[in-house]
Amino acid sequence: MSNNIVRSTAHLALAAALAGLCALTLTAQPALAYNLEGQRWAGTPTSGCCANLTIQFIHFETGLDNAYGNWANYNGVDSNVNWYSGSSVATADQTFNGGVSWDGITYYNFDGSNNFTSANAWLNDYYASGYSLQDRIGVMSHEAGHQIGLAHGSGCVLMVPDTPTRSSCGVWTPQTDDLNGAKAVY
Amino acid sequence: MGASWAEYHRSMAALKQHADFGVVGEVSVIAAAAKPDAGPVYQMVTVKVDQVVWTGNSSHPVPATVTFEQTGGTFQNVTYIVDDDPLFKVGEKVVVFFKEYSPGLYRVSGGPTGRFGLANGVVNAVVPDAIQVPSGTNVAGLLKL
Repeated sequence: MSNNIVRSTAHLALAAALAGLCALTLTAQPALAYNLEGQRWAGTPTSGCCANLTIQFIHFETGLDNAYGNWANYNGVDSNVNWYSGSSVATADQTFNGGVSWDGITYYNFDGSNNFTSANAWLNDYYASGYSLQDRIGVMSHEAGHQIGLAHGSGCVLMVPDTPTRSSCGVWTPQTDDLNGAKAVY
Repeated sequence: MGASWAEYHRSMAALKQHADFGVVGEVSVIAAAAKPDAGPVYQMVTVKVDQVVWTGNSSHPVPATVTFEQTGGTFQNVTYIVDDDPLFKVGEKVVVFFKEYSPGLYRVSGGPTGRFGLANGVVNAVVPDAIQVPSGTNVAGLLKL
């Protein structure tokens, strides 16, 4: 009798613990796996579809424009951001500089309301000329992320700071966390 | 500014593999920033070498001063900073690992992961989640990580 009571008590405790765990799992908020720069493009919606942005390609090789097209969605997850090609204060270009350790950079200006007034991205072919096309697209997709206002993240995401990590992760398009970051802005 | 790093060292072993030499020094000169057509604002920074603390791959003597490019700076009254890579300051004591990428031309290996602050003999990482530097580590300790 006493053994049964102990066993029943143990079962009850286990059930309570499992119920608590389930409740915790159901109510816990997911960690934000993205970071924001704090700037955005004015005149775009803050939620829902879509921020339609224009990128001007300057001396930009064929195929790299996929870096911008990839931002619309991935694996069925939308970003609320569409990039279109055209005349713009947002530009994408290529450069060649061995004096720095970056293979891509985004240089931007913004006004007092934290709205972008320009955002210029470069692929540094000093490094990127030795990359696969996928890694080159990965670098410029990363820069496109900066151009919409995303900061660096961690793990196997597009916004991780470095190309070796993206390459070893096999990441060259926006991942769910990156797209959620874009949705948090637009 | 936001960058994608081609070199981003997460261990001293990786840093030593890619750098040519490491120095303790002081930032002595920062030239006025410039803006090229095909690239962001940059400034040229000079470090006066107090001590060469590591030579691994250098085929040339380490110069008494090392001048290199840092992306960012103040241009037309606007200060630009790469998110992970704070601007050097004149008078700042630093530990920097350089790569001689062309004869007589140097870059900081790994950008912010190849430079450290130095205060009262204690080394501080610029990017805490790259090369992990325990609190209180001195230069000799850094080289052993």
